[in-house]
Amino acid sequence: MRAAILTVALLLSATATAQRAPYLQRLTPTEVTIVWRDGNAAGEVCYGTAPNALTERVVASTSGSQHEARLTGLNVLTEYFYAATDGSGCPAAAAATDHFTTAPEVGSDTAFRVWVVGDSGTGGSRQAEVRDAMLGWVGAQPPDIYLHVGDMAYADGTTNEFTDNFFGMYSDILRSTNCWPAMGNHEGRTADSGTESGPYYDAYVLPRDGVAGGMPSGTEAYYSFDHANVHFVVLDSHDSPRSVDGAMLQWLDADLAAADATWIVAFWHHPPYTKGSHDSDNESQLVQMRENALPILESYGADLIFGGHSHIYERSFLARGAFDTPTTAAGYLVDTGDGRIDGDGPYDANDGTVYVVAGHGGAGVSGSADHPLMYFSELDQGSVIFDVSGPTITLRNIRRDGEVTDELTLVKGVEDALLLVSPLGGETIAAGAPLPLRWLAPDDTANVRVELSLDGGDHWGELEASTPNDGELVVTAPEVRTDEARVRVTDTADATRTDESGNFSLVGTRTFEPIAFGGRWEYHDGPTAPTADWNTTTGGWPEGNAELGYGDGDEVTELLDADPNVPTVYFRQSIALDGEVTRAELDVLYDDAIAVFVNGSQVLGIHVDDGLDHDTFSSGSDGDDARASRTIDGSVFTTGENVIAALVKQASGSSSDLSFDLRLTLVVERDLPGPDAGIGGDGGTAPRPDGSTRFDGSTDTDGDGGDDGGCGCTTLAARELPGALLLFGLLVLALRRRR
Amino acid sequence: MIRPLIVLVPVLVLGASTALAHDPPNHDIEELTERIAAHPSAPLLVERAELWLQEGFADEAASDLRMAATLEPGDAIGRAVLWAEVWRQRGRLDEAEAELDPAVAAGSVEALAARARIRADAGRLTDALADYEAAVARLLTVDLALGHGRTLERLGRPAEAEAVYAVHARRLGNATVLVQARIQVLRQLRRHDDALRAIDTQVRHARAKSTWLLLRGAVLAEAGRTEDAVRAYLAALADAERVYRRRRSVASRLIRAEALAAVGRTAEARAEAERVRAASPQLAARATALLAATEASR
Repeated sequence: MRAAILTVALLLSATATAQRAPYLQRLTPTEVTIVWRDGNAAGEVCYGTAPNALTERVVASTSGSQHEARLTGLNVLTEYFYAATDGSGCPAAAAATDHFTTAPEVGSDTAFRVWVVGDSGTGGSRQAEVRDAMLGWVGAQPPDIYLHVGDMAYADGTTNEFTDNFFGMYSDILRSTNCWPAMGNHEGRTADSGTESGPYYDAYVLPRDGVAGGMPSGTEAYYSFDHANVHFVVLDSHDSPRSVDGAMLQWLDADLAAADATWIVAFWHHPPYTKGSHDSDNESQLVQMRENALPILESYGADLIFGGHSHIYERSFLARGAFDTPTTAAGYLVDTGDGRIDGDGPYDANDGTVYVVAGHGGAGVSGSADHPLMYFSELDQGSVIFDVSGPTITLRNIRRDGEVTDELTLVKGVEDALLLVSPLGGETIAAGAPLPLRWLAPDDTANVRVELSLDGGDHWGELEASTPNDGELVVTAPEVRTDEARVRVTDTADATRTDESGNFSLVGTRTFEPIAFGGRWEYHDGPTAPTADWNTTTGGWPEGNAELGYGDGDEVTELLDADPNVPTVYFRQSIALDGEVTRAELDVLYDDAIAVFVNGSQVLGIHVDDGLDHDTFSSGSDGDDARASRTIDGSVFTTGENVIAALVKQASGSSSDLSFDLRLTLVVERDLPGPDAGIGGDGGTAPRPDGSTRFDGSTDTDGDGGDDGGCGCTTLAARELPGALLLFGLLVLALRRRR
Repeated sequence: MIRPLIVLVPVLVLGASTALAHDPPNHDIEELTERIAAHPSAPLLVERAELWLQEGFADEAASDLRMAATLEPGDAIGRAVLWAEVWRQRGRLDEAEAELDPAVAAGSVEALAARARIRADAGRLTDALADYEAAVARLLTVDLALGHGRTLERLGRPAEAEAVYAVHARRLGNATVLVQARIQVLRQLRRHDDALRAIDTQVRHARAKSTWLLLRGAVLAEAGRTEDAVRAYLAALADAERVYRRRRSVASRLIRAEALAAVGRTAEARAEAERVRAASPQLAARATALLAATEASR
């Protein structure tokens, strides 16, 4: 049936001369396989635990242009550096990109980060935007592993399409991050699961023999692996039999019966629930995976299931048992909340499963986006990051513009035990900001004691001697700088029911928006140029709220629509800062050209190549309401007053519209005392008769965020942001009561 | 080249209208239909025929295959498996098999595997066995290996089935489903020591070992090694308790119930099985079987 296509693919494979940079495969706690392609007849990997000490060598097996070097006997959770060579000798040092960290011990609670992408393989700009949005969002905490749910090489999964649209597109990521793939239907055009042949199977080295955890499947088409406390299952929904008595689902049953991980995450290409570019009520592969695979997965308590194929992002409620066709929600939604820590509360994963369609990695999106099981659907490109931290998984959809448009948390409690859900450790909390605490405890726990340590648990002070066991409390973080803060929650009647967080940081940095979209601006829209100091002073101009402009009908403040157009319109406002800006992010909406200034220094210019003179029109256009984001140098800001100014240029005298809006996000650093000031000092604690200490910082029991001291800004327009949405993965700061 | 294309146009138009007698149930079919309308080609028609077959539309698939043959008459062997599937979906297994015969004769292993399955479905087990043997000699997959062994079992030749499961499993990295099938046959053959060794090849992979330990206990009991069986059952229960504390799934509960029953804690086992039966339609049959098995011990 696929003979003709396969023949063409094999020919392409045999004649291809394309190169592939090194990439990681089959990463476990003690081994990894490094794969690359070049024109050399032989290959060797030199490696070691320091970049300039590549003391170990492994000769690669070579087939055609592809080399595969299997490194074994490695140490658990250890960073290694490597160089892929032609076997003629090892370089003095590894390239900065070539390193990996072995997987954590299986079953451990080591925290890790996962990137999930689907239907990405166009090789186009949207795919690159999705990749870059992820990289921008994760910053210094890149993913530990990468899951691809299929369709990584459009249109036919040929060797060259793989090289260009997958290995080339993600080259720097794949050098240090293991990608675990599921085959999509487009790879299936040139690959065959029965024979495990074709470019897809050529490219990947997958564990058919249980070497990465799980039971041996005997095939690379479907397999499993363990990473810390998660058991991952990968199925082939495209080209392996999907019947309940077929080998794949029989293996699935045996594999899950043998899994003891805290979490089970499964993925394959054809999603069981979707109303995107595909409809799970009508299409056989989707229906069969729902009707045949899900009952097995749900009976073993699978927690999170990803699919692609349908070009959309969809995330379900916590659901269970919705196997019928067509799918209905009634009776199958276990938790109808939003699953957010700062919303209706996290889902208890013991009770059901969350389904995610991540078919939005680069291909064009479409669909009705109205599946009844879905809490959230979005027709825009992006990818998913999820963080596993002990008994908690936090998942976020990172849209291609960098916005986090969906977020949920899954928790897994243990019967008859108290479980602290937030914070868990590793977070960075702004000193003086609300610190939300969240826990799960058995129903017969009436009250809990809440304590805080600023020195890694050596000393504890009470935040609340006794507070009702309603699962949440918001306190104000002390004005102290430490990387060893911890919280502990204990049943007041049963000290064995207790849980404490890992270390988290309290810092003087605050992330906030001194200027939000829709902010108030002074503007100058007259026919003559303003004075030369227009972008370093304020006052004397009319004011209005953004969006400012004319011609589109969506303006909040309509500006002068002259005929012919005024070439340039000006905007400005001032903000006051009380600390050093360490990072600044600018988002602008413009039509047709824009330049932005901070205290007179230009920090952004788009389509202003013909100059900034008042009578000069734009040098180009990106269409109506174009958006752009830039990270700008924090040194242009000063402590005290700062003038933020912008000019927007028309494309021509007859252009019909002009638009402007701007958002500024800042991270400001303040000096704080060390942890010694926090306990028994003058940092807000007082000694207690029993020798313990009590923090007397205010307790924000209504959860509204409370005191905003130390926000680093005094402008009235400032608005606190959930820091996790922004630059450093800060914990979400405001808690609301669970409905 | 112009003349034949002109001749083909009415055929294509007629064929296309036939192929779209149903609304496309699949976005990929819609896309292919647009591409075929713009640039008719045999590979696209074959690809659409495969999608039609996935959705159970045999007539539409047949129409596409006929059109493909009109455009490119030379690939009858390559399309034989799809034609066989058309006939199979129409319930005409003889025609399906006949469609595959020339492709098998031409050396297509894919056609050989398809014919083996069709012959097994039709109950022609000896013929199916011949095809399976020929197929696995050239292409070994877990599904083909299972089909091979199951056919031998259906023919009442368990010793040979065990042997092929053993050989195939070894070649496929101790694939779990083949080892499971082999253990079942070994138990029928009362080759308990071999069954225990086969179980041990899997236990080392399993982090939750209770299902394998229960199986080990059952084999030991069948072998008359009662004390060893009890030890295996107790180990299974301890592991089931550990896993259930960590993962409160309905399947974990059922495995725990089975372990409780194995060590004689019948009342607890039955209570757990009742909970499973109420909670999971998918596991109800297994829970009911446990309840029936423990009925006499109440």
